[in-house]
Amino acid sequence: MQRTARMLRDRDIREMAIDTTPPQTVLSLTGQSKALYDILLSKSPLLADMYYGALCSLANPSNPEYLCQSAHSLRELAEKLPEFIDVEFTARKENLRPRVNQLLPVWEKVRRKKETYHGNWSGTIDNCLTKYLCKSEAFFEWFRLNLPARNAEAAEMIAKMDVAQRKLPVQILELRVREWDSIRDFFVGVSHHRLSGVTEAVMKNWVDVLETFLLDKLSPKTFAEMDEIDAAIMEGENQ
Amino acid sequence: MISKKVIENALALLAKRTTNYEYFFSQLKSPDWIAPLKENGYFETPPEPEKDGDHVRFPFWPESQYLARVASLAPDEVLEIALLVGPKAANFRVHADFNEAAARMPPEHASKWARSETKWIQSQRFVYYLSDSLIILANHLSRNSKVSEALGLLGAVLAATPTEKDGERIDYTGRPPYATRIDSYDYGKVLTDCVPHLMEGDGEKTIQFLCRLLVNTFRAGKGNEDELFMIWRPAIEESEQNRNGDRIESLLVTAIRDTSEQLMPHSGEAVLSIVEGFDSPTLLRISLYLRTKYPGVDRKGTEKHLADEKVLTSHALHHELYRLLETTFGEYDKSAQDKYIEFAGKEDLPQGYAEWFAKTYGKDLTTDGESSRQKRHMRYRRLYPVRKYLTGEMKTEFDTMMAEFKELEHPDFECYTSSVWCGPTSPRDSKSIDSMSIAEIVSFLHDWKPRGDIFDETPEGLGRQLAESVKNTPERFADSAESFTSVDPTYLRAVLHGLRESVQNNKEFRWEKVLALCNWVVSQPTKIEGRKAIPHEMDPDWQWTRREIGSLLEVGLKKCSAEIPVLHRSEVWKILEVLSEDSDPTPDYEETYGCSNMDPATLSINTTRGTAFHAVVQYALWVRRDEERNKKRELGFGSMPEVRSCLERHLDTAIDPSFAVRSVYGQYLPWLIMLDENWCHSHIGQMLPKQEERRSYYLAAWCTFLSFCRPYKNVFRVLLPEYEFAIDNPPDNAKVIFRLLKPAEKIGEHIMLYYLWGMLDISRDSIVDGLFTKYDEESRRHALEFVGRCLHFEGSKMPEVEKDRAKELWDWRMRKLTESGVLAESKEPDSFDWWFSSNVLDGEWVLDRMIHVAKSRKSVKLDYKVAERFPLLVVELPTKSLECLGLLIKRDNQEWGFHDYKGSIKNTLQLALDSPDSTVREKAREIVDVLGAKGNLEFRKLTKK
Repeated sequence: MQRTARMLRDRDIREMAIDTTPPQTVLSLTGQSKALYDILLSKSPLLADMYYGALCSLANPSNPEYLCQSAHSLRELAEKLPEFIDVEFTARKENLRPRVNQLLPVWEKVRRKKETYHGNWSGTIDNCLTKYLCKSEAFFEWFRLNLPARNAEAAEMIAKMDVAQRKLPVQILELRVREWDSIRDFFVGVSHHRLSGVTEAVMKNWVDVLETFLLDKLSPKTFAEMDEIDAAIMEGENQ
Repeated sequence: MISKKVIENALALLAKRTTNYEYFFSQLKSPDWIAPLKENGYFETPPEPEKDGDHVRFPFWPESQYLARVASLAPDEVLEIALLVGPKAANFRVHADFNEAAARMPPEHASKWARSETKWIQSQRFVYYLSDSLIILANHLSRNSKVSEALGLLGAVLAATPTEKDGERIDYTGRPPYATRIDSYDYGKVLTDCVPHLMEGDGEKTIQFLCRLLVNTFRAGKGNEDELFMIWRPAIEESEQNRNGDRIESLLVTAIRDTSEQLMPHSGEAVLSIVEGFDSPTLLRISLYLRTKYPGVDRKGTEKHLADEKVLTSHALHHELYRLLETTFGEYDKSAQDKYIEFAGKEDLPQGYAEWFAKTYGKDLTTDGESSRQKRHMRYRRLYPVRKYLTGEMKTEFDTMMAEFKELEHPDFECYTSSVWCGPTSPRDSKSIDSMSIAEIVSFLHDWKPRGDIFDETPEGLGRQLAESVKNTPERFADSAESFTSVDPTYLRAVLHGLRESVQNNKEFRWEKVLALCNWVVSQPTKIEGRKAIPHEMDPDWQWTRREIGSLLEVGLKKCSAEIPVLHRSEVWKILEVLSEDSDPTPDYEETYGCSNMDPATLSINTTRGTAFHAVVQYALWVRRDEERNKKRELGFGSMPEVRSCLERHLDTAIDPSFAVRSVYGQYLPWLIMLDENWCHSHIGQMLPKQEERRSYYLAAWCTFLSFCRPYKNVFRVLLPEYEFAIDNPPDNAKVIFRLLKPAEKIGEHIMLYYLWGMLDISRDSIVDGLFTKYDEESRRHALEFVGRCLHFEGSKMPEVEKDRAKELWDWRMRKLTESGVLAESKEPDSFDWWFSSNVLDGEWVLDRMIHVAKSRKSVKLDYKVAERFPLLVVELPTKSLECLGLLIKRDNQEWGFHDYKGSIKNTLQLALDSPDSTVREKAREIVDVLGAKGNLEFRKLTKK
């Protein structure tokens, strides 16, 4: 049986109560990396493993594919993350083909009707066409609900990660979505060997961007940032 | 000018999260930020209203709040943004901010915004949250010579429009037949706060504005609301007769009255001209009111009104016209006075009066001579307001009429309403009865007759005072009980009621004559031939007295100092034997009164046979106590065959079909088992019949048992099969009357206690397992919560073994829910708050379980009980406590989450921040930041230490 992410999560939740110790590693984590690892572990060991695996790959330059493999794990992390923070769009994993296959025979039947189709369309909406239109309506509704645009999913994920659980202003949300897209695009590009000239330093820089992005959301430093805001305002208003 | 570097830094910070964004805008003081922020896309997109089920939320917009604060410093920039964004914004809070901003701008700027806002308001059906800001803005405009703009703005807000029930006449329920954009509270506030400023700007224009609003409001109703408005507001002045003072029209009338009075001393004629310039009966009433207060103003105009028959005969104007005539009649020209007297003397009756009279009194005015009397009375009424000005023959004639018709009550009102207290009253109070001898009392009860008027004393009222007297001195009534056989059943019942209350207060008396009196009553036929009782004020027959006897015996047979001596056993049973065969309740009666509003147990104490059955059980216990006192061998019902026979007879539904009586078996089931276990064992199938067609009898007894009795260890053996049956047959489709007793919740409580006592286990197919597999989710949650409450309130007295069993139960239940994959959605874990807060379960155990519950759910509700335990736990188990608290805070998405328990959370975090362990401090700091991110900025103080 195919394991779905939901099943994995259920398993993880059960296991969490039993074993929450990090895996025995050769790579010890500190600072920002450790903080993110712990948070991901609290969401799911699967996420923590992906992140840790990416760092392990990155720490092994003797492997000629170390950057791609590291990027692959981080791309997977970005892909799976929405499910583990309760983003509703879980149907992305559902295949489009079976749905299209359900629609196809009705479509072909309509096309075969000479009263309405003879190279172009004319005539009245008969039972056959009504049936097709109804099925199409249901299909597009499913499509709308289950295969959202990447941006919509990212926006939902970012909103869910904000512990305030209040809507972000549109302009800020768009900014964050663009930021997340660029992070994801980078790792997808590297993992698919589409980006050339990526060095270890560049890769590490993007890992840092990812870590900062996630920690900002999942482990906010609210009051330290407020101190910074106060300082910025004071500086601005005293100029 | 703020440098680019500072702007970029600020933008990066504020864009990190919602809290930063809100905080940033709340702290800005300088308008210099407007331009750079605008360049970066701010001030363009206010948040839309958010629909949440049937409600709509209007989120705050930190950007417009900032603009409102700095509007006085940068009016051009703020106005530009407001005019661009405002007309398209659907969020009322944004409009409120822009209104406040405009109120801080120079008048020209404010006027521009006001005109834009007026158009927007006119396009809205309702406007919320705007009243305060509109008041500020309108007053700013009025104070700065922009009265027209202020009136335009207020006109839009205060205008009434027809409701959907277009064209309907006035609604007598009090609902106005029009709609306004703000509710009447805000409407009144706007008028009160704005009108004084408008008056300072332009008084006459303001009165004109208010009058037009009133007339348009009446027109929006589309009926003749204006004429009928006197129903809601009989007087223009303040009066107790005025109703629905918060009706919009009434608020406007008050405003017009008060503003007009301000101008009357110096611009009286102009004011009257404005008020009378509209074709409105209500405004004409205001004019008459003003003319009464200022009779010197436009005297000719007043005289013209007094000569106008339409004014003189209008019902709507009656009150104000009466007061005008009564106060000022003597000040008018003789010719004007004569004209009125001439009108008053007319021998005519209003149109339709004859028809109304015939319908009301059944008399024909034209045939029986009543006509001239009615005409005379009409003349009398018309002259009444001017009576003190009459002289000569007219005065003589008036005095003659006054002798005939007497003084009029409230003649200035067409319809005067008053209220009086109505209830049973007595011709004698209890103290007065205390001072009378028994013979005098009986004599008075015989002689006094109610007149039958609606507000008069009644037998019921006298009975209540009599009962009070009996309660205070029962012995003298008990010793002369036979004297009361001759009085009305209402009074005899009162005597017995008083005796019952005295027993409940442990006041002793001799029972012989009381029992004889009861015996005499039950020997009478229940119905009294030819009796004519006043409904609700006298007993219709002996039935209520018989019921009272049942209650008296039930109380008298209980263990107390005023208990009936056992030597009266045969007399007592003789009475009970009769009462237990009483026809009340009949099946019809139970169907009518026990259907949806009264459960069988309640019905049993409100019917004669039901009450008697309560007394029968008390009788059996009374006999048993005597046997125990005299160390007689217990024979069960063998020593009281009369009880056994009675109980067995009424288990036959052909003889006794009452659910109320059956409920008494359930209510006393543990005691019946105690009295005769063997009898119960052999009759339990009849008391709790399992056949489907007799399920209602089963439910009547079983639900009453569950509801009234706690579990007893010594009856468990007998009742175990009954619990098993009940678990297999949940009362899902039971009638409402049985569900009122909450059997599904109560059985959970019983099963949980038997489990804690070790009499039941949690093995597969056990009763406990059955409860959690066959009963609904709410019952399951209740059962677990019940254990939690037991731990919370009684935990300190519970043996350790019971606490261990409770823990075992919780783990077993959570394991089951996890295995079946429903833990995340189940309501059962919600009950853990009580377990957590009980303080009797060890900290590590409750923290582990709470973490497990919190992790399994998308959101949790942090309860104050739970929060209160954390300051203790964090000292004992800091890391785990903080893990748990952090999880609960993160997953608690309540809007007003931490209100009640912020103190407990603050103490917990302070203790953790003071810890020598840096990991603990770090964890606490993380939680403080999460609280801050959720908008709880007061926790910032913790970071400053």
